[in-house]
Amino acid sequence: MLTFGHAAIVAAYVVVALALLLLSLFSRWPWQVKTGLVVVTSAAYCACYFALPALLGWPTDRDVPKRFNLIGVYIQEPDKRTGEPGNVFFWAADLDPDRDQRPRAYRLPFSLKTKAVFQEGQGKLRQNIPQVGEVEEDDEVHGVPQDRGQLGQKSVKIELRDAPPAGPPSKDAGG
Amino acid sequence: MTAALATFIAAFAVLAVLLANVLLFTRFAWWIKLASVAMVACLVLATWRAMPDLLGWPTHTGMPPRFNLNAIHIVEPDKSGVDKGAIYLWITRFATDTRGVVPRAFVLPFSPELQLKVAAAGTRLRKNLPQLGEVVTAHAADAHGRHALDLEFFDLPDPLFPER
Repeated sequence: MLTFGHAAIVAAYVVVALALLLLSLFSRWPWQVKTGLVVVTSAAYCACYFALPALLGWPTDRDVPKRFNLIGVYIQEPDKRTGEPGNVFFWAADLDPDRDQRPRAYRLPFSLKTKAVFQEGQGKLRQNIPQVGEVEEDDEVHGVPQDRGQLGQKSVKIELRDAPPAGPPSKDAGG
Repeated sequence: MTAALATFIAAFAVLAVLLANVLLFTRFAWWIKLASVAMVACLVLATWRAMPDLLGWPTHTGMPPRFNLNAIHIVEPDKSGVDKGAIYLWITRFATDTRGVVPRAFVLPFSPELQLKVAAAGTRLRKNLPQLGEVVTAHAADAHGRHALDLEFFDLPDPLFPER
């Protein structure tokens, strides 16, 4: 599935290629300089291509799905010694059938309320009770974020519920 | 992740050098130069904003040799053979000091043998038996660049009760 992220990076590659083409065709530089530019740009392409997987797998702090199937929870308590504010990480799959069904890792800022919600969910997962999460956008302002990098992040209110039991197969389905 | 960001910043630097060359050493019309600046500025911003869109999804490379298993998710192949299945693992690198350790998601090609091992480890995890994973052997990458790994899982000893 082509996401905005992939599309933007592919577009960036195309623009660099166009700029290089213009320079190669219309500038009066010696051929050695033009060859050098092609080599450097190709090396930058390769470096980006191989660097992408290193970005993957780490949790994101955006785009928590409206409804999701909770798969895992990892809670990092705040550290008073180092001043680390703590995080609540969770791993979930989107329940919207039109979206990517692969599990995705998320990060939420630590708060006692978030910790309590997810700790309870983790306990139920361990008892083999599947958990469904639902997100409500929270418009309340809860002070200034400690991490300035999170200024664009909306605070979200997440509730976890026991997943409804799978019903018997429909009579219409199949023969 | 820091190395990946550094690579992207280096790529942006190459782009800036190319742009500077266009601006300083070519005889293009001023509006072409202005459009180049606008286009590159938009692209750098768009790429920067697009980065979080790439985060969170599982990767197929860079699995640490020893790790703590946090969660598993197994997708079995469908009968039509279109979906080949996958085994997803959410892990943290094995460390005695877990401060600042961030979990990372990985995807491995599906195999019945690995499914058995991972499902057994998942069951033990649900019984509150922390699982230590070890990469035993790595095989060549498949068509999607995913490396088939042979993994072994062990119960982690409870740190509250050291062995005598």
